[in-house]
Amino acid sequence: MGSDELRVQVRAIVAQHARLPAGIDVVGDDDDLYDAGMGSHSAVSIMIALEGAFDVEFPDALLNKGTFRSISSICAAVTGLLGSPPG
Amino acid sequence: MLRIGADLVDTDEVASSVATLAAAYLKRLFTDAELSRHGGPGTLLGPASHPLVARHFAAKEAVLKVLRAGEAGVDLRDIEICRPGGCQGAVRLSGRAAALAEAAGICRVFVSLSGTGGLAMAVAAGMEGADGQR
Repeated sequence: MGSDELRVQVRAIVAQHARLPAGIDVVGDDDDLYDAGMGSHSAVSIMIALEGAFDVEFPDALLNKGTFRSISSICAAVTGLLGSPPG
Repeated sequence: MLRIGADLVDTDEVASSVATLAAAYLKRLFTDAELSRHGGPGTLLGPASHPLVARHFAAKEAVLKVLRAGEAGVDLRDIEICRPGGCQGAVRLSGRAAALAEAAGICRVFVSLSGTGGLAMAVAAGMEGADGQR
């Protein structure tokens, strides 16, 4: 999967679960999603949706606010998980 | 010393996630014991259970604040809400949540849950000290 395709998928998942007051279209890839109105429950929902969409599991070390702070940080985390060896 | 944490959750937001993410959502947030205590995923997926799910989410987030988890990654399943009845109960910690509590000298954590209309809330209190059982 290319990085552009992954970014499109991540943006779609964030759009569905982040409940941003102004919507996803005004959010840049590096903008802070918490500043844009995303709450902790939304971040958890995004994490679970990502796990289902990409067949990955976020380890404890990635279950923090920083991982879900921006579209770019989420893409970086998913890219890392997709590249991780199984097990 | 007492540490306090609180959290407020929109029940409709939780209901939306339950509807969209289904059992995967519940199994990522609840321990096996919690799922069993409340009738299993099948029961918890029903609309009547959404306020309960929202209160439990709020409770776990409130405990994270007690633990001052910050950027430390904590699986919400490491925080188990033990609620034999009523609206308050003890919390059983495991994994990284237990490690954070131990590092902070927190020996016991309690929660109080509430909700009304479309909101669910929880307050958690952590007792620092050597006495008591975590």
